[in-house]
Amino acid sequence: MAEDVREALEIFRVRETKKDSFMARALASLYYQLKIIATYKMFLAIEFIDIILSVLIYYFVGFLVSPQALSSLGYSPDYLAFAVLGIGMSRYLWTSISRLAHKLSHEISEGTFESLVAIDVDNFRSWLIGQVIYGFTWSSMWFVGTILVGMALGAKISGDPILWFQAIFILLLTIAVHVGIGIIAAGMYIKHKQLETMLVFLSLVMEFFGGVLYPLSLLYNYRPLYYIAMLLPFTHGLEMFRRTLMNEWTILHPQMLLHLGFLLVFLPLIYLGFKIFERYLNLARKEGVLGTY
Amino acid sequence: MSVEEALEMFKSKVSGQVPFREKVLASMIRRAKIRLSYKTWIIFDFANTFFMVLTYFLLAFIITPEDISRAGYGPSYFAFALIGIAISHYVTASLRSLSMTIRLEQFYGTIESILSTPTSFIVLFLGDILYFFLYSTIFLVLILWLGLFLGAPIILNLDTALTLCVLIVLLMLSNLPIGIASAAMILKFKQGNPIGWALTWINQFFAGTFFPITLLPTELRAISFLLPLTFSLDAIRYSLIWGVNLLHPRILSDVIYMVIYAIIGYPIALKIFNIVYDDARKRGELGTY
Repeated sequence: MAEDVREALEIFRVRETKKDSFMARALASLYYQLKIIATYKMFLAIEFIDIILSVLIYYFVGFLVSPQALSSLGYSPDYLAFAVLGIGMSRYLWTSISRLAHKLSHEISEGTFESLVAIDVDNFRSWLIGQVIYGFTWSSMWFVGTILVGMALGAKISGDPILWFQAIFILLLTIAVHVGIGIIAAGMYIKHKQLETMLVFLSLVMEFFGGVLYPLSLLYNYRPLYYIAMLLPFTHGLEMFRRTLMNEWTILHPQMLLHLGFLLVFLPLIYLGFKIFERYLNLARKEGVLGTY
Repeated sequence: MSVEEALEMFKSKVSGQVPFREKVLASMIRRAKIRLSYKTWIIFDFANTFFMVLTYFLLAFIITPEDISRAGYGPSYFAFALIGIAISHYVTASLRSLSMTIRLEQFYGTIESILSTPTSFIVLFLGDILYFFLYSTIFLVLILWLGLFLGAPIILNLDTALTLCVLIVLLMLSNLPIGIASAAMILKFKQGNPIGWALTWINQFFAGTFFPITLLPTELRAISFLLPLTFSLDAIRYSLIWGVNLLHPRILSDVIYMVIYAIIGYPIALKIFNIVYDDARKRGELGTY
């Protein structure tokens, strides 16, 4: 254990002299986070129960849902598939948007953030990437678990490998956009602190308006809410994802292209995210507020 | 009451200087001050519940009411789910508040200091439960109000409101033994949130918070009948949906079950807690986590 920690620290210490050192540092950031979570065995076991129970709840709610109503709203009539895909994807939302700021708040309150700053050689880019990969890995475990339990219970999800390839592309694109928002938020957290409330709220708003548990078309009866939903990238990502695996639409379907266009508009947020993070990090360094909370 | 005053109450000897109820009140205020300082959590809790109500309001549009009606809860899925959401905070409070108290005191390193004062741990427990009860009541009122605003067909009048009050007290009393046993598990296994969360989810799933338990296969439904929450939920739903009071046979039978659970549950839960508590004291492990 001590040897592993020394190895991870060594990777952080090394200067950027090798071409692959950036990735090595990012992997070290991922590795230490995985080590921490692996010590919480009970937590992992309970997460497993959580996956099963949350799918089971919607399996039984599915008996109450009218297949005709779901069909009339343009989806395949299987509510379990609808809910499972929504729940699975929504897990990425929190890890993409709020987790980085949440992690920073932990590092700051535990007094380890300044140590990270002291060994930083690339304005935290490798650290951020490592944490993003960790968030992705963690959510992916949840996602895969949810889909597998759902399929075991009879959720009718497409098995076409090409459509799955398309779905994964949509998933990665959606995550990338939200990670951009998360990095901006993390940067703002370093300087302004107390941003977690807003981020948690933002995740909740996106999850609600994205239509994780109900068809988005139901919002059409409440036009202002529908327009808010259309302004959020998660709504488009989830719609495309569901249409791919439930309705077997390809990316060339006119509605899919429209959603894709919306999602691509948000893509520059990733570049912007790193720039804003760097700016706030430098500001906080100058003002000496890195360790305060 | 200032922090100094609250501390003074805890410090004083049990010689009749500070009445029991004042100590409980001080403990409640102390917990409220701590919890209310976590503004993020409070906002998350309110926002999460608000969006949950809206989600089930929308979901109800694609639900056919036959199964809900067959289970005896009328034609509205929204009313059914709304009541489940409205009382979920009481469920969490009765199942998790004690374990949370122990966990927090362990985490902040204050558990041994508190236990070394002449103030009994029961006072702390009661104060905490009182705080969570009041906090959950705010949620109940807001959720029912939001539900009525959105058109949920629930009947709220003096009769049903009084019945609701009695049923909620019974809900807390009948579920609390599980919470006490869960608190003992925290002392024994030193694991915090996971046990509490699992208990809450399992209870909410098997008691039918979001779907009637008549949908569960017979074998799984047997588990539902082992949980007092099943009867609490049934009684509260039945009363608010049909506008009947405690004297209705279905509610009366649920009340009897809840009372039986409380009568059987407390001696067992307290026995378990005392064994684990004494063992932790002997080993000097009260403060470890």
